[in-house]
Amino acid sequence: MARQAIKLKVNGQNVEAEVEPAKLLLDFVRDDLGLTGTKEGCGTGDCGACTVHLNGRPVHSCLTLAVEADGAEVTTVEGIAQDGVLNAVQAAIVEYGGTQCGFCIPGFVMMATAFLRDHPKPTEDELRMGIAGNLCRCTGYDKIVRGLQAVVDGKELALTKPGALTDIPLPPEPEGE
Amino acid sequence: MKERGRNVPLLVSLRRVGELAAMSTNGVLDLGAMVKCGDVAWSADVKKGWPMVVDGADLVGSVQIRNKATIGGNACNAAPSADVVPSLIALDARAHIAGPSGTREIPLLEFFKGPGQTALAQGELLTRISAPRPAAGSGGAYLRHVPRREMDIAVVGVAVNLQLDSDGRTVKDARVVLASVAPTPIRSAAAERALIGQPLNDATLAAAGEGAAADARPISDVRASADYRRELLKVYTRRVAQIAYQRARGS
Amino acid sequence: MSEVLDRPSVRQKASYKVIGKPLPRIDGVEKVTGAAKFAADYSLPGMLIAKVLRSPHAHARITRLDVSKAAAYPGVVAVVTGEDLEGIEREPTSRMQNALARTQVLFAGQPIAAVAATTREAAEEALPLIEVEYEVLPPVLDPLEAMKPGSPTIKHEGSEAGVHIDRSEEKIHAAGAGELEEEDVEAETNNVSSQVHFKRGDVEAGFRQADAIVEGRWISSSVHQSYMEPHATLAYWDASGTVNIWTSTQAQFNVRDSIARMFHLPISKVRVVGTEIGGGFGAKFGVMAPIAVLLSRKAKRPVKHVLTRSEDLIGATPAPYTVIDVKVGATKTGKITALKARVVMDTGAFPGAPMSIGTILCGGSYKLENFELDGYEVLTNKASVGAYRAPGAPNVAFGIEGAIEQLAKKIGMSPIEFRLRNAIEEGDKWPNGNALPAVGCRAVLEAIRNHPIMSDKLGPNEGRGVAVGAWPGGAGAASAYCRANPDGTFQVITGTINLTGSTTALAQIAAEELGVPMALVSVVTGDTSESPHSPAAGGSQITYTMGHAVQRAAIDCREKMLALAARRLEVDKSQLRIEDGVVKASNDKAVTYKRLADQALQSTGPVVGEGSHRPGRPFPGFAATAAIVHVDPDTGAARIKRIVTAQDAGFAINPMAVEGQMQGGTVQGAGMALTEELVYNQDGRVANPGLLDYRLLTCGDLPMIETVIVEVPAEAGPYGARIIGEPPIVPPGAAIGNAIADAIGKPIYHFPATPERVFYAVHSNGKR
Repeated sequence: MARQAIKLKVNGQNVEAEVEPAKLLLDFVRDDLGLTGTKEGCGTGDCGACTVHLNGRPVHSCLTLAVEADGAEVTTVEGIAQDGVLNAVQAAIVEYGGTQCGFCIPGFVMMATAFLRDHPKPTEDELRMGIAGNLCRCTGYDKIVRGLQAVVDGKELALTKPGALTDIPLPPEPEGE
Repeated sequence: MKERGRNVPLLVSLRRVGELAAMSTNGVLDLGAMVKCGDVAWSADVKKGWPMVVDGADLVGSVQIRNKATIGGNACNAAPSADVVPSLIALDARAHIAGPSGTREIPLLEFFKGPGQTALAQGELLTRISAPRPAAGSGGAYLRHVPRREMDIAVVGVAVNLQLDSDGRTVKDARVVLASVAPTPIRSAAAERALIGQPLNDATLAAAGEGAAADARPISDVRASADYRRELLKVYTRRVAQIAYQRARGS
Repeated sequence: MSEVLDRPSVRQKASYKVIGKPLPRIDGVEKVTGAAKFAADYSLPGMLIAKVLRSPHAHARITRLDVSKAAAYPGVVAVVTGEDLEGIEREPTSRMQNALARTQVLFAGQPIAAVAATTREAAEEALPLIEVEYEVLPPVLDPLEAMKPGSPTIKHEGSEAGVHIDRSEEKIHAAGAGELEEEDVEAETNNVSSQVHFKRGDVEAGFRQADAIVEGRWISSSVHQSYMEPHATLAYWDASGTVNIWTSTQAQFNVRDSIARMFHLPISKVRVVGTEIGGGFGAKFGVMAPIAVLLSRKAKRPVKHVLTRSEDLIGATPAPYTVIDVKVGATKTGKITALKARVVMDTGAFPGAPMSIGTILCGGSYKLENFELDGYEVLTNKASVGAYRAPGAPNVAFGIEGAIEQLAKKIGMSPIEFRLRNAIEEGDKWPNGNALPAVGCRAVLEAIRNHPIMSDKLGPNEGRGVAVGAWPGGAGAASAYCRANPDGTFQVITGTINLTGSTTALAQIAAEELGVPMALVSVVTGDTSESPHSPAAGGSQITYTMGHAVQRAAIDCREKMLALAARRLEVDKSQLRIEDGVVKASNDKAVTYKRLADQALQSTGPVVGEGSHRPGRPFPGFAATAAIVHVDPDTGAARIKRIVTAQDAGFAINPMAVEGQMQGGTVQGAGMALTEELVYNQDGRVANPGLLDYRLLTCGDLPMIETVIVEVPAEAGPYGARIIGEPPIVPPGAAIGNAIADAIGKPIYHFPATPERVFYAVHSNGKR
């Protein structure tokens, strides 16, 4: 099939490309745009690691064609932190110990960011069911859920502060040395 | 496409055909084939008028899947386990089909011909599914059995739509639709017979369950044995009928 | 160089500034931003994509193989088959070295040929052009059937009588298993690739002393490690003759050594870059690497080979289907008098099942005067098995702990009291004769006994179950550098793969010894050409072994810095103390690490500390779990209401990471108990090769996972720390099984306890 011209926004940037109609959005962002944060865990929509936002809605990029994103706004995990500052979901997952191997984590960040935007005050069960399409093999989900509950509860998160990722707490030089 | 290979000769996007993505809850429930399961599951209007449809749509895959999967896709995939379909059949929904020779409509039950096979002829497409507003005094529900709570496929699914007499106790009319226990979704005449004209007590519920199990033609596969599926039908027919009954009394 | 610190006393623990603190992983930010690069995220100019043709048959002879059409397909650069293995080191029974089938197929999914093409599409389209003709042979799938005379016999190509069994991987996970005395019992059984027998006392006399005896057969299904990242390797055999390999592995030095041996290359010609790894759980020791290497050698270009999820479920190295027969007796007063067990482990098409250690662990948790334990590793026509987190131990625990729970109830004793009465202790011997050092068997059981879960009132159709289990762990050689940077920061350089968050613990150890805040220390994982030698991230050993090396490297670095400071501040070194990165002298003078390191660059030379640690003896870790489960008696569906795992961490260098390991292990054990199972159809094909029907538990299926860390210091571990990763997968499955049995009032013998199996257990009249 002939290549198809598409125009879309990815993480706020305009992108124009020609793609095979059969090309998956997952392969487009990973291979053509070099945004490898989006992961392929199963290729069949059963693990959630490839979750991206298509016009704000979390979808599996492994089950979405790149041509379906023509005219759309796509956000990948690389587009979540703004100006080097993590969003609350990212910060909470780190601070509450929710990352282990981390392969599933971009998918969790995308799903949870959308879910908590749409459901800011879920019960624990609603939260669990909201992210139940994302599989994690390392953590038993406990610390991911606790982190997301901290977001729901509005707990203070150090990593959402500007400079949190780059400032190093060096000791002051002693006087007279 | 993922399953059948990428070498299709032509790929046509229907994304800009607005009619296909339209949903209406004005009197009848009208679901364009490209309406997303999530838009149905999260619609207050559908939940109010056709709660059993929400029961099914809310079970499809995960949130990510419901953001992509369409009503028409769930139907045209023609899996006996499709979660959206049983409730719609139990509501006497009709499938609207368009093709080179014009449009036609058929009862949704007749849309399914076998696993992966539909009544669509070459060149035809499903445009929408419509269901009437349930009669006064009726209520319906859908439940499925799955080993996990999310991301799973119905081992069995049961939809029951009941209409109660003016006494609010006797079942006046019933539809019992079974998923994953035959090559297509099926209506269980035996279960319906067991319910109609009866009050909904333990004996009728048990009889309805036995009827459903008798009408089912399940297979044994990696998800369950045929015998176990029959056992589950007895349980789920009873449970779903009870929910339908509560909803009918509350309507 | 200073020797290892003593076991920490309570006072010492209180004085620690960085270790012992629950700190988030230092790599967390890379993970949540998508910056962390996993193997499949790497690309090289001119890179080709590999795809593998796999056998649809479980047992067959290959009568014709013609790849010419595939090789001529546009975009295809190289095709390799079994013929390309000529000249390569190849033990007949090594799965890794026999990466491609030659004249026979031993499992469905076995690679027959591999294609490297310029695009994935071209590679995929070329596969069906490969012409293969098979003479299909009857497969043997059930290990008990396979043992019977007259069953089809599996013979490896090129193997003669007296097969050499490749056990190198097993030794990494369980150092103890390497020193087994395998009693040489005459093998009278078909397809048995190895056999062990352990005996002590007089079992029959023991059973005669028993007031109650429990006997049964427990089956645990084959499960898959299901790391979220499928196997991925990028290999480039470059023009200089160096093989460069970027791969998702737990053990980059092992991959280096294996590839060097296979291809007869010096170690200096093999560079393995262990990338970020998306979970391994024992399965990622390089078994998939040879295909990309073979293709790259032939194509003279970089080749990337990433398995699909389905290929990984079908054709990687799952955990073994295991049958365990148990007979155990006890007196009314709760003393175990005898244990007899037979473990049959289905190793699949190649040997390498954790049968020996599994058999030893039948007697791993209890004082036993009389036992007889037999283990059989049996070949079948399935994908051969690999390690999976405490390999073999959870399988055996289903049987042993299931029987122990029944026996306790039979003599009218609380199952936890019964276990405590018989709990193994320091000085007791495991069945292989190894005397135990101080272990936490009793401590974890006491922690469970004292936990509120044991007094929760049970609702209708709810049951409670308990189990305990152990893992010996690995203890490999380790080394590390610690480099002082001129900006006052430090980098620890290791070759260890950050599988479990161990680099965070290593950073904590370095920060503690250097006397700086954690934020000033980073840990770098170098590749096998640039980093000091490190052990495999397997056998739960990284903190246990690398912890020593890093501790020594940090102390070495600190002492060198102190020597510089002493000269600069004109005091004796013994007059110096370190506070938050500032070296202070008794004469009120002070200097920062930053200034010292910067000045060293201009004068005495850069400061690098180094640390090396010899292989040690394993220090077993124990864990215990209690679970409360609700069972729907109408459908058989079981759901965990509450679950607690207690583990002996020795000393938890990072309690948050330890909890994370305990929670992950507990849920993996729960998956084995409830939903996970590779189902093989009668032809030997995996019937559920996807994550829809190979069911990992979701977040929605689980409660919070409660943990209790107990600390019985390990003399040989850094600060008393011991192995963490593996023990917590051992007891949870058995505890859940026991809870289901408690809820329905009938035993559960077949795992996973799917709704269907539980339904028929509830409604059994001998059926199923």
